[in-house]
Amino acid sequence: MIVARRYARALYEEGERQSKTAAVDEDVAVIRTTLEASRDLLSFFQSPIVPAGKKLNVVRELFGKRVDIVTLRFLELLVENDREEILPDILSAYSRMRDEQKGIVEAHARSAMPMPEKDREKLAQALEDLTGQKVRLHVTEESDLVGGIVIRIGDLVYDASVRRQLERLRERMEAGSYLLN
Amino acid sequence: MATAIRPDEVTSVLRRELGGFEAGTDIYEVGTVLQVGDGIARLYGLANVQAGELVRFPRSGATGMVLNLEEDSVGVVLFDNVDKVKEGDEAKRTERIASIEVSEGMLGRVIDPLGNPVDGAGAVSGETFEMPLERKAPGVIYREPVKEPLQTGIKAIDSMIPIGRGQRELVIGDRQTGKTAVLVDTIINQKSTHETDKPVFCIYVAVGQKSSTVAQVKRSLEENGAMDYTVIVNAPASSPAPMQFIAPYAGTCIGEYFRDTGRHALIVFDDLSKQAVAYREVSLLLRRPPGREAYPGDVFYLHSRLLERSAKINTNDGVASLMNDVPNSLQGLVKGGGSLTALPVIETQAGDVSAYIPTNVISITDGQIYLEADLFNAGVRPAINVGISVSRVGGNAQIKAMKKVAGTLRLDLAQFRELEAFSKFGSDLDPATQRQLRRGERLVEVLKQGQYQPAPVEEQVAIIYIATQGLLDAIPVERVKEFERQYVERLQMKHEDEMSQIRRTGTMSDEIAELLKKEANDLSSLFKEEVAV
Repeated sequence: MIVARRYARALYEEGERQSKTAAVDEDVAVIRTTLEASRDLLSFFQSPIVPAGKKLNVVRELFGKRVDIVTLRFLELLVENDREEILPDILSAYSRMRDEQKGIVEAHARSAMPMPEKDREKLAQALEDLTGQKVRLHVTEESDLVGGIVIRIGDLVYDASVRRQLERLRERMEAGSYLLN
Repeated sequence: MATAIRPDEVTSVLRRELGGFEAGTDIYEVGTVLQVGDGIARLYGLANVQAGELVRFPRSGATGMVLNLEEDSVGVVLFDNVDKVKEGDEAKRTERIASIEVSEGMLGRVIDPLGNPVDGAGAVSGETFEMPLERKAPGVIYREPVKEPLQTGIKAIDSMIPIGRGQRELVIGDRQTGKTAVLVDTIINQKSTHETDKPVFCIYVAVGQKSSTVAQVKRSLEENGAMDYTVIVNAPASSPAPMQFIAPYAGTCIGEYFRDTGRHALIVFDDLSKQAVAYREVSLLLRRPPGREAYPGDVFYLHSRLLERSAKINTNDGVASLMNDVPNSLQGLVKGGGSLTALPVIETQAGDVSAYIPTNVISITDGQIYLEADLFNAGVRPAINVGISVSRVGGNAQIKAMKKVAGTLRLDLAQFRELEAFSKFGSDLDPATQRQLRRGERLVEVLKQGQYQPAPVEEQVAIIYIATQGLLDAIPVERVKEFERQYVERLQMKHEDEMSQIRRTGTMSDEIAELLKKEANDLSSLFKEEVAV
C-alpha cells in the first residue's frame, strides 16, 4: 500500500512537472478501464513467470499510441522495477490522491428501495452541503435494510435505515430488562 | 412473588419504552478487515480510532481491542468469536476505551475479564460503575504509608514477613510448591475481618489456569465460607491470549472500586508469569519487535503499571477526593482510607529467580515470599524460605504483640540454619549448640501449618511466644504439633477473654504473658510424662 502510494505520487509529480496532469489523469482512467475489462491482462501483469521483456512488449504495443509518453515511461519503469503486480493498487491510489486534491469524495449509498434520478441528485447535493466537498455518488439497492438508506463516505457511515432503528430498539430493550427484574 | 404480569402492564411498559424511543440517523465509524488470523485482525480505515478502544464486528458478533495504530492499518486483538471474523467484514467503533462494569453484586461470582458472569448463576446484580482497564495509579500525595496489618493466618508470614494493607508482596516459587495454597488461606483468613468495621474484600484473578483448578479453588472458598466476599476473575488456559493478558487489569478495576470508596480489598494474581506469556503472544502476533526471551520491550511496564495501582490511600477524605484520574462513574463517591493489597504470583523454572520476568516483578513489589521445593519435600509446609523472604513494610504492619514475640524468632531460625549442617553429629556437639538445634527444630515445627487452617493472630502470638521462650524444648519434636493443637484448644476454652484482648488491643500485657507460660508448663508436663525415655 505504501509502495503504491509512492509510485502514484511519483507519477503525479512528474505529470505536474511537465504540465501534463490532465493527460495523465485521462491515461490512468484508460488503463484502469482496460484492466477491469480484461482479467487476462491483469493476470498477465501479476504473473511472476512471464519474463520482463514480454511484459514490456505488451505494454508498448497496447498503450504505446494511446497514452502520453510520461505514462508509458511510467509503465516501463514499473516493469523494470518488478512492481507491475501492484499496478491496480497504484492506479486506485492515484485516483484517490487526485480526488483528495480536487476536493472530491466518493460516497456509496445503499437504499432499500430503487432511487429515482431526481432523488439521487437531491442526495448528492445534500451530501455536498454536509461535507463541503464535491461528491461522487454511487447508489446500490439492498432490500435487507427494510427501509431508508445507508450512506458511507470514507470511514464514516450515516445509517438512516429502518433495520438499524430496529436493532437499536432491540439493544435498548435488552439493556432495560424491566420485565425480568 | 409469583403473581402473573397482566397483559395491560406489559403493553403499557412496552408503549412507554417505544414512546421514549427516538428514531434518528445513526452515525458511526467503520473499518474493513484486511487480514484476520491467530486472534488478530488487521483493519483498513477507522482513522479516528483510539488506542485501547473497543471495536465491534457486527456480522460475527466479535469484540476486539485496538492495540496497534499504524500508518495504513489498525491492529485489533479479538476477545471472542475469534473464528467467525472473515476478511472483508465491517468493524464499528464503540467509542469506549476498554473498561469493565464493576458492581458489588460481583462478590460471590465468577466472571470473565470483560465482566460477564461465567458461573451460570444469571446476570450480575446491583448498580454498576464503569471502570477503565487502563488507569493511572494514584499520585504520591493521595497515598499514605502502609500501617494496618493484613493477616494471612499463616504463622511464618505474619510473624516474619508481615504484610500490610496496601502493600504488594510477591509469592514466588517453582511449580507445586504451595503458592496457590498461600493465597487461598489468606483469602479464607479474611473472614473474621467481616465482623469488624474494616472488612477486606478479596479478588482472585486466575490467569491461564486449568478450569478444574479454578473450580477447586472456588469450592475450597465456598466450603470455608469465603466466597461471600470474594470475586473470581477467570481467564482459563483455553481463553484467547488477549483475555488472559487483560484479566489482571480487570481484577484491579474491581479492587480499585473498593479502594477508592474507602474500603479495603485484597487481590491475588495467579499468576503473572502466564500473563506475561499471553502478552508476549499478542505482541509477537502484532509484529512488535521481540526482546529478551522473546518478550516485548514493554513487559516490565505491563507489570509495573498493574501493580502500582495497588496502594494505600490517604485517610483524609478531602485529599482523597482530589485523586488523579478518577473515572467519571466514581466522581463524588471517592473516600479516603481505603487500600488495595496485591499478592502477585510468579512461577520460576528450577528455582531460577534471576530470570527475566522474576527479576522484573521482584523489583516492582514491596517484598517477596520464597517457596522452595526442597522444603516442601522435606515436609516443611508452607515451604517458605524465611531466610531470603522479605517484606519491605515489615514491623509497621504488625500488631505490637506480634512484633514483640517475633523479634527473636527470625534470629533463632537464622542461627539454627547455620548450625543445621552440624546436626548430623548429634551428641558430639557442645551444650550451647545442642540447645540452639533443639530450639530451632521446634520453631520450624511450630511454623508448619495445614492447608485451609489459617490461625487467628492471637493464637499465633501465643504459640510463637512460648516457643521462643523455650517452653517447647523439652517436648519431643514429633509431638510438638499435637502439643500446639491441645494448647490452643485450652486457651480457647479457658482464657477466651485474654485471647480476645490480644486481638482487640493488639498488645500482650505481662499478666497475659505469664498466663500463657503457665498454661504451657501445665500442658507440657503431661507430654513429658507420656514419653518413655
